[in-house]
Amino acid sequence: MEAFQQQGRHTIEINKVSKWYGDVSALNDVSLTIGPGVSGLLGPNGAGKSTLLKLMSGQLEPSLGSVHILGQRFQNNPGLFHHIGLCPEQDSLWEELSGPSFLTAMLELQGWPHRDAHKRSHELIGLFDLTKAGTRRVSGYSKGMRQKLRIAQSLAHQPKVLFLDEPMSGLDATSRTLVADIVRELGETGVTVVISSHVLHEVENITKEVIIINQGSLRARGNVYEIRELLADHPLQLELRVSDPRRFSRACMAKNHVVKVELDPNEKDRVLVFTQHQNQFFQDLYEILEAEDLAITSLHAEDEDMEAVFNYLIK
Amino acid sequence: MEAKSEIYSQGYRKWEGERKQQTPPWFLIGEAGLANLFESSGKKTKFFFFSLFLFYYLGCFGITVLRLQADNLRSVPAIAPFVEAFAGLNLDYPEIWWHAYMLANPTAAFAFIAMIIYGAQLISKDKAANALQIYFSKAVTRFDYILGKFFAIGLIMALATLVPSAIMLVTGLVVTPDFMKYISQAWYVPFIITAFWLLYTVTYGSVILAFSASQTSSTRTSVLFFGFLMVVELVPLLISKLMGASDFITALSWSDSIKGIADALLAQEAADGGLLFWQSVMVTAYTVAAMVFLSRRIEPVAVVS
Repeated sequence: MEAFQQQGRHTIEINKVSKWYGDVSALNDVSLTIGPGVSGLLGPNGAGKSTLLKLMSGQLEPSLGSVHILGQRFQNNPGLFHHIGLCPEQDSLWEELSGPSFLTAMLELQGWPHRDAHKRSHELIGLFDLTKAGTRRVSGYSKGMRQKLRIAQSLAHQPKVLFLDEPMSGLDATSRTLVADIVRELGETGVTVVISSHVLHEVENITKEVIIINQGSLRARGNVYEIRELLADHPLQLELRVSDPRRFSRACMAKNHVVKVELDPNEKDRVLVFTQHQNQFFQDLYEILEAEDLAITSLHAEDEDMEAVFNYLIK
Repeated sequence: MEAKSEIYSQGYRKWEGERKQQTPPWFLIGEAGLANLFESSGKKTKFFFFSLFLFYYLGCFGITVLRLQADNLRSVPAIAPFVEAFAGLNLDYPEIWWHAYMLANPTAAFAFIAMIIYGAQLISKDKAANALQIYFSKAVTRFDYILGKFFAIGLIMALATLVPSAIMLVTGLVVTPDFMKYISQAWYVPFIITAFWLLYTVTYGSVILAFSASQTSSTRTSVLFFGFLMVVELVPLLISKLMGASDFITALSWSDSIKGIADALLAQEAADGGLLFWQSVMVTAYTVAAMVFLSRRIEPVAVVS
């Protein structure tokens, strides 16, 4: 199973994958590689996120192209699922079983002996703060409890690849923090985690590595800041508060990478700088401040976050 | 961090690398399916079935004792009337005849009731709960899943076939006055009863599971199954009225054909060769069609075109 890494291959390799539902194209010629760590799969509703996730987790077969996980294909290879965890978006629990019984059954399906599965299920029940539910049937669980149980079953067997479809849905703030911590730690310990969400700040709290798809096509992938740098049509907006905005503006405009500078008539010390190259700007900023004998009191990137990148790519 | 220590300090590193399935997935799926059914059944339903089978098993036990110990029990005043109740029957009939007497009709009736009440839920409940996606995110194949469901049906059908047969055989071995004679009459009975159990499990199982796989409601599944039974009973009747009866038309009746094959298996009122042939062909055709439909309806993700 580890041989694929020695061959220099990625954990997830998607090669020219297309998927049609009848006449409707859900994914179109997507090629992608994903390595260990957490990657956010982003896109608006109907972009093809769930289809891509289902293809990567072996729930669907591509109409065209190939999907390799850990160097292997899913076809006639049930053993590969021992290394994969999936938290589906839709409700998918056995209503009549208790939480621990459900987790035990899931672990046994992944090859765990009953005694170990039973022990592990109770540990996870404790970790996800579901102990109070005791042996209550899953049908009596709240939405948040059901979501936590779904996440617990996906990572219970310590998969090498974990797919989470909208994992924060229905969770309260405390549970969101817990799940974010767990996912982050899984990524840090070498598990390949793909987390699909349309709530961008939740993903941003966990990872800066993103895959953005829209209308069934891959729009961008990589570090969100690097992607932002590549968006030449959308210069980066930096908000600064400086001691002499007019002099600072003149000095900025002399630089090639600065596209535009705006002064705020309401807040006299506020300046908005639009630059094509963030790193170059920060290098030049020091020179400008020294040459013009200016001081800045605050500096803030206005549209550097995941939401801004997402909006530029999607809208 | 707290979560890290919880997740990574469990000493499960032995699970690194290739894992071997400890218990076959089909067994786990069948077991979980039955556990789900049992948990979802009301107390009254459980009590009804428990009482029904207790009564049935007591009957199997009692009749075996009565017929094999008839000579001795006639002298017991309290039991003599029960022995006389069988006066019209030849107590020397072979063991398989008594199995057919006790099992044939109850099994046919139980198969119908069990499929309507329990069989209908086996896949439709999973579909309603979207559990197929969870199953198929594990090391479970479509074959495992379907086999697991047949295993559950098989266990249900065993209550009306294998269990009473075992009760009769064990009782017979214990109370028979002539052990060697009993063995010579009964040694092949377990094989025939196993085939009888398989016949009902596979035929009724394939049809009810096919209907169950097409629905997300067990009620709708039961109604469809009942409708199917009505159609396959009424259509041959209508055709035979219009075109005249023939073995082929008679064999179109699904449940009657299964009953016909079962009777032939138990050597009780076996149909003639021509009718039995067509009954076997028709039951095979119904079963294969149901299996094909079933396997096509088992997908991890419901794809809506």
